[in-house]
Amino acid sequence: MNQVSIQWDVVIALYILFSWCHGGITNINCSGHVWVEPATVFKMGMDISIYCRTIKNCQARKFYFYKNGIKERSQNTRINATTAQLWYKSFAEPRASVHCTAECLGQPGEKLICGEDISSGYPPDAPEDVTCVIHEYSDHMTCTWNAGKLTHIATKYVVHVKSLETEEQQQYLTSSFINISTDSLQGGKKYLVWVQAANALGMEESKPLQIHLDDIVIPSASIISRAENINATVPKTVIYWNSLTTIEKISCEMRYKATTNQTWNVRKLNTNFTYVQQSEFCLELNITYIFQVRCQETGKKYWQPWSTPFFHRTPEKVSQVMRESVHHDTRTSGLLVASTFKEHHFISDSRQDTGLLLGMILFAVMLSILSLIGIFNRTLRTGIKRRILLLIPKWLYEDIPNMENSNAVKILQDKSEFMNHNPSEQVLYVDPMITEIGEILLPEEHKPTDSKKEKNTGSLETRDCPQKSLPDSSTLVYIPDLNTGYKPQISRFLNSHDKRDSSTLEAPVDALDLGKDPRLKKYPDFAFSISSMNSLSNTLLLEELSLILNQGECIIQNSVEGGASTLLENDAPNEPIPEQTFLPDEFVSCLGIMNEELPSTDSYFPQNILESNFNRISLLEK
Amino acid sequence: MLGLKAGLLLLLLLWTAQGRAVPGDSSPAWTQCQQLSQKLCTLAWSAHPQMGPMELLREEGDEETTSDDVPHIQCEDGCDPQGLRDNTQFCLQRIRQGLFFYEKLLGSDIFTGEPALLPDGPVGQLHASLLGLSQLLQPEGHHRETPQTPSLHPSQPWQRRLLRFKILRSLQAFLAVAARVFAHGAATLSP
Repeated sequence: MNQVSIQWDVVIALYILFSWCHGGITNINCSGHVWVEPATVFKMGMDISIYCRTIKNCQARKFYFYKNGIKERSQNTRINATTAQLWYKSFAEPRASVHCTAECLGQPGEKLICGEDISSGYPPDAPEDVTCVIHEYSDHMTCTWNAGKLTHIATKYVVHVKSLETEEQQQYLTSSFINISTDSLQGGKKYLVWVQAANALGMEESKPLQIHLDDIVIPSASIISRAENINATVPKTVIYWNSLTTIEKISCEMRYKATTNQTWNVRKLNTNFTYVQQSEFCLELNITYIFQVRCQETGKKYWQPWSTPFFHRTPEKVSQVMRESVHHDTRTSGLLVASTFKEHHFISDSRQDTGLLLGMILFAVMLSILSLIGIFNRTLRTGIKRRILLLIPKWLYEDIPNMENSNAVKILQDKSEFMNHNPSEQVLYVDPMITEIGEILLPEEHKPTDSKKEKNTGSLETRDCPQKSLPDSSTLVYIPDLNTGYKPQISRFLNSHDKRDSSTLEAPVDALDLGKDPRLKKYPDFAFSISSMNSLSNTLLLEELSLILNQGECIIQNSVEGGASTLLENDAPNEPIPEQTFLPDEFVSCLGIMNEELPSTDSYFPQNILESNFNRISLLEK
Repeated sequence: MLGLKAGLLLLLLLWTAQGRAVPGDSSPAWTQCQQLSQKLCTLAWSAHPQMGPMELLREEGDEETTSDDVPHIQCEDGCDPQGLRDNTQFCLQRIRQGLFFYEKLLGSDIFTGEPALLPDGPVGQLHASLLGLSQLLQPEGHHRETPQTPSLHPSQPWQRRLLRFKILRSLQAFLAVAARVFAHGAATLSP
């Protein structure tokens, strides 16, 4: 007990030792002052000095500076009893955290004096290339500019918009670009726009930009939809493209180049977006090209940005007449990925295709009309029939062939006459002997054929095993129609196969006690009394039992004397027995796990805890 | 009228629920708590080097500070073996307060602000695990506890580095004691 108490006291003591610094866990208490010269934010690459001064309760023996939590190895300069200086030459880090500590006389360890965050960067460049555009179907004006070099420090931009008609001026503060609602531009259509950039190190202003709202509209984006290779006399590539713009006067450009090339070929295009645009290009064969298109309102300043690149590969051969259509998938990445579906037509012109198709349709229609007339017009049909009868030879439509003209009859007649004249020859032609008709008894093992009949009369219980066992063997059994009076005929393959089956089923013979004929095992005696099976309860029981039996695995042997059914398993070793699994394997595996010993539920205890508990128990017992 | 009755009934229910000073014998899943608290200890120690190679500094006013703003596990909280044998709820209540307190701190801008920490780093895992243990200990239908929340002030990046260090050191100590409590509970108090 005492040992436990001692351990607990140690834990508490450790905790108190750990938590001695809990004085304001969310606050930092400075005992001095840290400052940076020339400033905490300065131009990158400048020389800077960091000063640290103790104010109270510390006669500093030594000062330490930390940058980003790491103690600085460079020696600081002691200015006086309370102040030290750390000098950095060409400080080029965008930002850093610095704090200072001191060893105070009579006090253990280091004491925090204070800290400071420093940043270095550049003053902003004057914004250039100020651009304000209104995209078609958009409700705002977007102004962008080139901000110049990276400043590394927080830089704000103020966009000034002044109406040239009302002199009203508006300012918009942003960190990069700005979207100005067109509803807020109520001062007419002419404006002056300029951008002012400012940060801690300076301020710059762009040149003013004069805009007219009608002149800065950019048409809706143009999209290249597909490409087609047409190979008539000179191979051509047709690029299909379109835009949803409603602006009437549009000027467009399409540029293209081989993927391996660096220079673009630009073609100016006259466009009318009433239809899908087609542009033809004569390109080199077997080369992948990139196409891009852009448009602007004719006579205006701003173009659309170039459309997403469209890749197209020209065909490989000239001789082959080919049409190649290319479709796009713009969903993947920003680039268009072209998938090519080649269709080879060996018809020189697409117009020929159309003519052929029309001809076929016309022929089909005419044929249908004539057929209908023939079907419904009896007189016409009769007339046609007469004409046909006149045209075809007579023997074709005679009902009974004229036997008088038959060569075969004539030959037979001649032969008969010859035989009558040669009686010795008749001995060779003896009629077969007529014998009594005997009944062939069907062996018992072939009674399953009869069981088909019995099945109809109520012996449903026995159907599962024999019926299922039959497909397993390759035995061909002729199952006659009992109404015809024929006897069942057994395939000649049956006996030999039965023998083979019987060899595989020898094992359960003794168990079944079915007699010496092993075939009985495979085909049990189905000639049992049907009356014994009429019991509904028995039927249900057997059907239920049969649900869990596998083919070839079991035999239901009915004992007439006992009136009971016996379920027996066929455990023949040679016969592959499929594993009957009514539960998913996972369940089975779970069951397996349940049968196993579960892992120990005893959790882990630190040894000292266990020991202390044991000691405490032993102490209590004493 | 009906609304008034419903309101009165709701107030009555709340009053009844709050009337339970300490929940009855609802004991936590000691084994789970033990495992999770051990994991928390490991995480707290692994998160500590992420703060940088810093040393614990003394600050002005440490000597006079009573550190009332941090939930401590103290002797009167009943977290010693005898206290746990008598009634575990006082100790568990204290641990719950501490977990809530540190969970709030780890989610504050002290840890989420600049300089940024790794999003999937140990501090993030520590925060999530603290929340998990806190929920594991939350008694059902118990609303009486008024959690001790940290008083957060805007901090500068250089301060955050030091504050993170301080908070994690404090959390390590808290979790060490809490883990001991759960280990003891799992050994002796588990049904």
